Amino acid sequence: MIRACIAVLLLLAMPVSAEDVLARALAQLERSEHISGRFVQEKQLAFLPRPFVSAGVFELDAKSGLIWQVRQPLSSRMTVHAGRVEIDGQVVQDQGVGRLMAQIMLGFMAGDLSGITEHFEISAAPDEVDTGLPWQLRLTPKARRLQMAIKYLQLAGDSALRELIIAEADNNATRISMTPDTVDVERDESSVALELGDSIEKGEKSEKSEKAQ
Amino acid sequence: MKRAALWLLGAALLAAMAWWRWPAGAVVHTDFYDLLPGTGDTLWQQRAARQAATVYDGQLVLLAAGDDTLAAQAFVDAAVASLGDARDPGQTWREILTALKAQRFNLLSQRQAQRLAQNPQALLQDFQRVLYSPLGSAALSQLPADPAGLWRGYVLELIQLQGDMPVQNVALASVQVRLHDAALLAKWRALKQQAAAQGLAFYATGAPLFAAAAKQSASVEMRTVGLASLLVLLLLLWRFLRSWRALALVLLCVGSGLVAGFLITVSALGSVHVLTLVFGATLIGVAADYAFHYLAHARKPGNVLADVLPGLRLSVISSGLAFALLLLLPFPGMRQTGLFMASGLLASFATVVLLYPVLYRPPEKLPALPRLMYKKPILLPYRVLLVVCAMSAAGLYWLGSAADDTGTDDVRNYYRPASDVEADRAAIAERLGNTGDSRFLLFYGDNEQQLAQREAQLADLAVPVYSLLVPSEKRQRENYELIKQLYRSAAFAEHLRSLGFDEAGIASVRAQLPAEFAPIVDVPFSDAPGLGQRLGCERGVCASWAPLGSAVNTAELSARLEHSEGVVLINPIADFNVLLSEYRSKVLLLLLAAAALAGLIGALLYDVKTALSILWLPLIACCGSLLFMAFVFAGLSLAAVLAALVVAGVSLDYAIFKALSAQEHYPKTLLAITLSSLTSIIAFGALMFSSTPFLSQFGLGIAVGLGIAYGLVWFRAGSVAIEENP
Repeated sequence: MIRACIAVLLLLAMPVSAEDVLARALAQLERSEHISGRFVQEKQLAFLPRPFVSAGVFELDAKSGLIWQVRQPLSSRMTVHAGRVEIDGQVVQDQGVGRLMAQIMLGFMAGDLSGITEHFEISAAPDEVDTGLPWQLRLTPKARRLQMAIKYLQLAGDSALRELIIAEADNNATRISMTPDTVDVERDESSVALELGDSIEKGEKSEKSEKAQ
Repeated sequence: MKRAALWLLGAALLAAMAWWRWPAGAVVHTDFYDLLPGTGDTLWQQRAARQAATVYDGQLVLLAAGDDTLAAQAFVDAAVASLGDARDPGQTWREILTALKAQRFNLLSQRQAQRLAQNPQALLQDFQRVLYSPLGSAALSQLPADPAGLWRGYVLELIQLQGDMPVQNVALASVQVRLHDAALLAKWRALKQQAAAQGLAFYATGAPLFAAAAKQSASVEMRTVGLASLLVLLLLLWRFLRSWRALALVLLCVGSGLVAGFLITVSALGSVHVLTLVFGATLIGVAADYAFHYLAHARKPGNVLADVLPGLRLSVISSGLAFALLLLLPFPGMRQTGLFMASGLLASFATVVLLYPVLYRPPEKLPALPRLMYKKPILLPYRVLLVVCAMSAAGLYWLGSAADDTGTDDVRNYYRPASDVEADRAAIAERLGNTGDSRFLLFYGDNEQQLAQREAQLADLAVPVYSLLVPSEKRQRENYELIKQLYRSAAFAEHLRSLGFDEAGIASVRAQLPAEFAPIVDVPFSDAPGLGQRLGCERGVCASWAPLGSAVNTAELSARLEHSEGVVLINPIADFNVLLSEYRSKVLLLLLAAAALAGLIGALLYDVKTALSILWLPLIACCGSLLFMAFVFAGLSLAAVLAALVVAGVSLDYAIFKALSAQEHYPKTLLAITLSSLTSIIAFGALMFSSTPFLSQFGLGIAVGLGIAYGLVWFRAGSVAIEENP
């Protein structure tokens, strides 16, 4: 009996393997050809008193790629299609960030992570990270060039990818939260503004509380 | 024995002179600019071309393409690791930009400067759009140092000029290769196969790969063509001379000529070009004549030299002086060739005259001379000869006068890369939008400031000039003033506030701008990849060069250059082709001069009739070869003209030996000429199968010319037939 208890305790104490997490994520992901939704992008910077926040809508399609439309606080539109990255119709040198984002999002949308595993070591996210979402993964780049820009990516989600954290090599991090929906993105301005307002408000509150302390 | 001692003394003196005069460093050059006269503008061109070449020396550019960019990148990274040491232009750029960043307030691209002057608010708003996009992450981290994105924009425009943007779905890398020759080729081919197995396309290009392919091709040609012709030569020599010692002496005669030619040329001129060596190898054909002439006559022990010396002497004087004429030309390549050939022929002559009587004893039993050698020469009436000579001279004149119109010289004929190596180069050039343009711009100025200003005049055409990194002091000051104006504006403060900076943060950002303008004076770099470079200042002239980046609109550039001062477009390939054309004209002239000189020497030593009876044969053989080549290749090339020069030298020997041979020795002279012709035609004819167009044409020209010369050997000019020998 004692032996059995010890065995169960040991089993519970064992870290969840990458394969398990990957299998769990794949089991829950809903395969799709097209996804649209809202996002909030947030970045904490040491020299700014409040987080740097933008929000907008996105559209992801297996054929036409990614459209990332920032609506607040300024309007801009990034498109990634066939490896070509444009902002407001201008081709840009994105150092791989835009293409990487599109590739990861398309992989999770299609439930095919083979392209991602080729370039990243997949591991379970550390225990201290709790997003409240059913699965969390950490992707560490294999290629030296990618390592120079990105330390790791942290992904979390349920039936779809919900959160992407880009931990940069210079120790800054960008958090992108995504809310997939099926509502026509053109008609969803109000919810974007609402979410951005919440986020900015949260930032201002934390700023005030820091000052108060 | 005195003769042998004299030869040894000569060899020792030659060795001592070479030891005393031998230059330090590499003596065999391959740079085409070494063939140009090194004065005036050419000096700067040479420096620019060498700098451009050094950038890519030993380096390969690798490119992998496929739908999955990351897979392509991973493949290229692995390929770099397997081929050598990564030579990351990006790293060099990072170091340069890190050094420059402290002086960023003096640096703006032309476009940025215009926008700042006209509408700074629009520039700030565009930057904010980038910051709020997912791509703005890196710029966000740098906000305090680069709050308006000016440094970021400046760097991106510099990167754009290098032509590696925007290339989609490909991964690029540069590598300093560790592998060479066959190992490099094998690895490259294996990588192509591995890439194909992964659904990727892999290409590589660069000097090491071209060199490896050329060496492989040359060694295959050497093995097949060279060995086959050597075997035939040995069989022929054995058939008629029956003596290994004779074979060794032929090699000694040719070898001593080549060694002496090389040592004397390097000792006197400091270096020798690889093309001089290629042409110098034809010395084998001329020098072997001397050996054959002696050996064919030495059928019995006795004083052979007395029989052959008049012919040999006239031959070496006429050929040697003809080649020595090349020393008068202003082209280093031609001077080298002239000295190499003249000194080499003299050494071969000395070997035959001094060593052969000591070292050669004819075998006791020699096969009888073939019956053909006793054949009576066919009489060629003077009238017919006159007509043929007149036609030949007219042909030469036409070729000389039409040489500029009918020239087919192209430097690319000297070197034709293997098709698969060339295919990779073309694929990379196509994907990068770069056609492998070897042209470059050469800037001149009275001082560095003027140079920078002249470079800046072409900056809007995306010419990657050095002053993009370090502009003129005037431009730096203008940039500083524009940035200062922006930093002090209310719009700038509002921009920072909207990004989330508080008043203290805004003040801190503004404090980074230096209070006073300070020009960039200390430049710790000069080799920014993809950008031109300064060439220095000499005798009141400063110069720099810039490549034609892939982003340059060449039509617009050409139009602009017509009105620009102190800048010229250099096209090395066109320049080389003009040089080749000049060489060709000069060698044609030299042919005529050599004919006149040989005639004069013959007339002085013997009489006019003898001189004319000698000259007709080389004249017709030479013209025949030139006309044949002009007809087959629809024009003349330097290869054809150089072949004619060799034909002239060798066939002049035939004519001299024939004309000066006593009647009882005539069959032996014919045997010597037959051996010489057959061996030369086989050896040079084998070059026809070379994959290098220049060598192939050269070989064909010699084979045809010597074939004609040998055919003419069976004719005799005159009005009375000679009795047939018994």
